[in-house]
Amino acid sequence: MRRLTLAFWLVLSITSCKRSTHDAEALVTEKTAPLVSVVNVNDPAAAAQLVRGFHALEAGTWRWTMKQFEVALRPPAGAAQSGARLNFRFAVPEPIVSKFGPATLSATINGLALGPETYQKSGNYIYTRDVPASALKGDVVVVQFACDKGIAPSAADARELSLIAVSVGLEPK
Amino acid sequence: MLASRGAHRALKMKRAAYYVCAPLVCLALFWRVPFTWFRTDDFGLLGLASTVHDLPSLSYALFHPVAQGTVRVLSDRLFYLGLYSLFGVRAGPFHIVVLLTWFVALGLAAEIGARVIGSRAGGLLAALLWTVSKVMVTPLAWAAVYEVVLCAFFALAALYSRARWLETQKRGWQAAEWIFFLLGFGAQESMVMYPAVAVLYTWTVARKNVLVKGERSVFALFIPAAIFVAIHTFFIPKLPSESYRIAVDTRIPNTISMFLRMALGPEHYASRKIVGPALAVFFVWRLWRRDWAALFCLGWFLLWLAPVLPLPNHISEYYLATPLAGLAWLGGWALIAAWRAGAVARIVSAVLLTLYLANAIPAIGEGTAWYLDHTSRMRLAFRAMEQAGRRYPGTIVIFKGVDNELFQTGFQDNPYRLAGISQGLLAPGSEKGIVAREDLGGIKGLTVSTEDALLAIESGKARVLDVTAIQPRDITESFETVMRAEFLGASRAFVDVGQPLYAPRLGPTWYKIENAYRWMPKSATVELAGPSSPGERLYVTGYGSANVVASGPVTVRFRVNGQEIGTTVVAMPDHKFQSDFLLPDKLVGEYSMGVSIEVSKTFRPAGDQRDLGMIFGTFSVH
Repeated sequence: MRRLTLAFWLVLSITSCKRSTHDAEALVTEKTAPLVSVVNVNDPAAAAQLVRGFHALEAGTWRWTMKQFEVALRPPAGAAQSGARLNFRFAVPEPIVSKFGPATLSATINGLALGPETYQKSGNYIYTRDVPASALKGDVVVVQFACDKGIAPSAADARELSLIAVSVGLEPK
Repeated sequence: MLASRGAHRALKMKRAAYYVCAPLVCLALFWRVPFTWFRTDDFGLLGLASTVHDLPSLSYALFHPVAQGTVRVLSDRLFYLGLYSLFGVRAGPFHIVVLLTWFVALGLAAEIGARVIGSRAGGLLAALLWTVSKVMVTPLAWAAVYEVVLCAFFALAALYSRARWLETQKRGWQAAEWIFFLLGFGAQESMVMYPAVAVLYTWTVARKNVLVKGERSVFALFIPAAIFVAIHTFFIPKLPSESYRIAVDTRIPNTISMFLRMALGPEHYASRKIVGPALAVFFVWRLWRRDWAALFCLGWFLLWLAPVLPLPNHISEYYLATPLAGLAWLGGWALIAAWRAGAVARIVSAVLLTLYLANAIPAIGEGTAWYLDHTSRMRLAFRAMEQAGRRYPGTIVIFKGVDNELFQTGFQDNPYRLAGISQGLLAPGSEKGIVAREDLGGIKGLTVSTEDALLAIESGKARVLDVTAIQPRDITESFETVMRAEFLGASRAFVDVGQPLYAPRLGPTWYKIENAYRWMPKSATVELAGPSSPGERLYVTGYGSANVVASGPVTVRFRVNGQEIGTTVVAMPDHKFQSDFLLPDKLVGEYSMGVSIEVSKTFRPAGDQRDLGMIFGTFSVH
């Protein structure tokens, strides 16, 4: 009986203490790293710049987006004087086009609307727009994207799925 | 003498092996359970301890009915209060207690099975079949449903005591039956079914006529059950809930059929279509041979299921934990019967058993892995909250990267106070795609606007944790930067000079914020978006301090991109003022415009080095 009691407490100690040692490092405080101008969606250091509308990383390279998604970017050097070019590398998935037809993507940067573009077929694309200097003041700008097509959440997949994002960036002109 | 001692020792070893076998198989299959963490309802039950301060509050915590009128003193209240007091928010001890209870229940099931089947090997096989089931994943891996395991234990312990009493006529066993039976009400309400089970056992397995004097005492068990039902029905208030709405109607046969199929395994089990009918054939065969113990197996299954049959909207697999023992006894019995029937029957039964195990074992692995994976994410998020709470006592935590899966693991069950933080909120916009339970208050109390989030962060009241990756990160600083940019980008037609959030929109001459306003000197500038359509106006609010107008009215001149749009005269001392000016059509669609303000005179208060012009509040275009 004494052995049994000892074993019981031993197992209790192992299962409760093991967790606490491991969990002691549960929270990492991120040093305030400078924001980047080009965000690859698989870059863990830039994850904080994927403001919202992005799902988990898939295959280590891409992420599903919701119909509306946002990215924070640091304007490149000189952008406040001469502007910059916004490049969004992404793919229009086949199920989106086959189910709902052509997809139109639009974007606003710091509240400035950039022209929409319609994609008739599935495939890889780059959405490119020139951004005037007036919209690139400050250390960081937020780009809001909106795609008019997406797969609604369902019992099979609770996520809203729209585009496949690879990278978003502001590059010097 | 030595030989006798050796034989005694061998007997003890054999006996120990008999009881250890099923728990060992269980551990081998459910090895992830001790490492699984808490989820959903666990947090509410763990939080019970924080409500206990004295004897009355302890009494309230132990006996106050919750949700559907449940007062599970042993399986919910004491279980969580006791283990939380000893171990804190550590799940291991909870799961070990669940497993130990289950192991004892397996031993009791083997003993009862031996009596039902008439074979100790059969009893052991039944215990093994009971534990090798996907049905047991939730009861073993989720501490909050300890009630089903504890109820199974009390039911079997009471019945075993009855069996021993019937065999030995020792009063101690009869007393033990009553004690276990009455304690069972502290585990689960289903215990009201025990008297019927006891009658069935006495008649079909012990083969005693329950109507004759001496055996009629079994009916006394119905008295506490009836009292419990009366109290539960008439005196305990219940919250209305669609999930737990009682419906005694034509759906009951369908509900029984669903539970029966679930007991044999999920839809994709190939074995379900073969093992189920085979078991049914065996059952009919035993009845045809007037072996009424088979009726006890089915009776056990149906009687323990009966209390949940009128809940067509809440069909949960874990309800099957106790009833499943009935089918396990029938299965163990069938295997023993086949073994005794010859080579062909042995081969057929071995094939059926293999088929069942081939489906059940991977399903147990998948089920326990699901619990371990999901609760591990929650555990890390919780520990991160705890650390944030320790570093910043009383802080609010804003979570970035909470997906629906993580949310469902416990974000709606208030784990925050347990972690030592004052409140948990979802990062603005991240609530999209999350399905919250309305009966727990919905998503409303967990959302925050960008502006409120920024204010909380800037005032040091909130920290931001990113829980997207396995390792949670405190991203407060970068989040604040990004949110500020987003906020300014989204609210370009409005500036509140008294709010630090809008500082990037102000020219360099403005003085510091005082009481949610700012003084300007002789001149100042503000950046706003141009009007979006013709006819829009610039609206300005401010405050005419008595000191400003003491020497007469002050004229304030407004220009946009260098062009004058109007003036206003501030003459009333200590009064708020408000003015608006039509904006030129040529500015429509302009991304930004510079608004400059100039006052006709300034003053310098005694002891102040500043030349003060006017106090302003907001500027907006609409």
